[in-house]
Amino acid sequence: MISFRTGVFAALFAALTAGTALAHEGHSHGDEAPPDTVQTAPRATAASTLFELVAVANGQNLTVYIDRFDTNEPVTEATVYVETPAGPATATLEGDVFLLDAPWAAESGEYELLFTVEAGTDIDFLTATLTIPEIAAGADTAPLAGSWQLPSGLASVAERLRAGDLALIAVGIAGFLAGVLVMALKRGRSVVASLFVLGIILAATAPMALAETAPQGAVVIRDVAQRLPDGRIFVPKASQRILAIRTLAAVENEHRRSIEMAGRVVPDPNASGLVQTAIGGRLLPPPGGFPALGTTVKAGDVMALVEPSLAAADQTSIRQSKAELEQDIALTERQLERYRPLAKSGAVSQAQLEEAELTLQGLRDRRAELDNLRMAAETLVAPVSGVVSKANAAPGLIAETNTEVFHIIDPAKLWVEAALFADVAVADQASVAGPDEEAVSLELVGAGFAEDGQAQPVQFRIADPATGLRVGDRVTVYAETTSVTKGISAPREAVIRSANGENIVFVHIGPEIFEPRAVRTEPLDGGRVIIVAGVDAGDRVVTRGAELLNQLR
Amino acid sequence: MLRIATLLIFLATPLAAHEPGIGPNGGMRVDASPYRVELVPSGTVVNVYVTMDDESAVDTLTMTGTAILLIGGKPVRAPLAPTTPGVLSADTGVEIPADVKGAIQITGADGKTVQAKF
Repeated sequence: MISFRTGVFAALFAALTAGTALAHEGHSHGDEAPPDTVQTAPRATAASTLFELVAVANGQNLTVYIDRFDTNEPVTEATVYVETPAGPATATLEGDVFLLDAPWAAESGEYELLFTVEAGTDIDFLTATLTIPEIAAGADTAPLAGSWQLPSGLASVAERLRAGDLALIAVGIAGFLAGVLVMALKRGRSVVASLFVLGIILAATAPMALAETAPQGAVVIRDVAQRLPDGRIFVPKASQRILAIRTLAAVENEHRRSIEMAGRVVPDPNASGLVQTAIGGRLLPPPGGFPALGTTVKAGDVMALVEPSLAAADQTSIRQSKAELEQDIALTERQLERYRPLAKSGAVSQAQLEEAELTLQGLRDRRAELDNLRMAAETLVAPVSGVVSKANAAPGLIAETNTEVFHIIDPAKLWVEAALFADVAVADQASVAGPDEEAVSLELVGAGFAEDGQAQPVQFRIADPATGLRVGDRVTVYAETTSVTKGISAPREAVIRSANGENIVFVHIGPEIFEPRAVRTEPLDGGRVIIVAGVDAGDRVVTRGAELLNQLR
Repeated sequence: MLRIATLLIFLATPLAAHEPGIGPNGGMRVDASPYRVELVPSGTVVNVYVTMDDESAVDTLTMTGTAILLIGGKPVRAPLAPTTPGVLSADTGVEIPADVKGAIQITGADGKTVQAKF
């Protein structure tokens, strides 16, 4: 008997304590996955050529989302009249949604609603049917609420079992097995005990089967964006607002075909320059100091001074020359002293005296030049106007003749140098993707003939200097060719890669439904691609937020 | 089950059943299950002819409704009332163009409402 009771008790205890041990749903962590019982709130949807409308029933209120049909942009500056079962009513704007009192929505049933949306000169009528199911009628449906009742005792265990709480069932089974184990240890009446415990378990799980038809009372209703089994994505309007989903009605046009080239931003050779020393020596700051990085300088501005430094061998030879000169000067001075009295007597000719004087003067000049040799510093000036983009100057630095002391670039004059591998003629127009994914237009400067690594170098001028591109940036150049292709142009960010590697776009097929479509694309320019297959004209292609939609599971 | 049903409800958004065509009275006619309604403007009055899907007659004398029409760039709302059998009428007080855009809501004696958009 002891074994029998122990088995039953073990199973029951385990099932009951599981309710409190796992009772963690009283608050939300924010990152929790929605429970299985979460449903979408009752809603009515409608679309016209101008607007798209979703009305979500929230107890005795309706939340009405109105967006532009083409762009999915929220419409907020509008007046919304609604023909409701209780007569005409006007919805009030709160934030970016319209709210409507709907006491009639507390009762289950089908309600025909006629919305009149007046947004400036755009006026449209939208008809929608709101179906309030039995389950939600009268119940405290609370969209976006995250609270759960705390389980208490057996009733809560049954509740959780109805909700298909696998953890609870697992604990029950574990308890059952524990009971069986205890009984096996004690031996005797094991068959009866097992059957009894099995009966308890079945009785506890029975409500699960009934739950499909029985009303459940309070139901937590929360609209959650999710991927449907067929791959389409359900995104409630509230989530679409947060993700800022925008669309574009596809229009088929003829576009010039483009080719892609790898390129690099380089300075315009006529608007950039290097500051280097010709003689090599010790760097000295000019009056006012060395110009710092980013300083704007004008052509001719003094950037640095270079004091020539002499090598040991040079210094020795200078000293030797100096000693020789001193010796020659001394000899010539003596000679001159002897000549002067003799010249008066005529023993030495006047010509000899003058020659000696000139020789002495020449020797003295040569010595003076040697003395001044170390004093003359080279002045380094800016060869072009621009901005200092590289600076290697420091006082006392010994600069060799090939040292790049400063690099001056005019940021308003930048070029892009690209490598063209294909054997095609490039048209005058090209573009690159700027830092903010906007296309930056380029003008062809010229193409070289040199086969530089099998590629033909092509140079472009950046038309608008205020693009944020910097020298050295690696860019992809999209150059127009002369051939034409037909397709739908779409922003580059509309095309994303699906989990299986396909290029896809999302098409907005219903107010809250998005469908992934495999597409084939060709480059158009730095900001756009041409969709040549997969999307039809008139489809609403998601242009912003596609990557976020793709993350939904 | 309920979850699937709820999903199906919004997936099957009834955008259909509003195929416009010209009715026997010369107005725009659309399907509004279980009826077919035809909108015929006449001066300042709008007449709404109602038949069943299979063209059989409908007792409109117990019906009420509302017509909202876009006239001169402004929405005009007028209550529809039965005039002759099969017809509901409303006087908007302003001249209605022949190709008027709008929507109507008709409620039958059983309280069931149907809508039609033109």
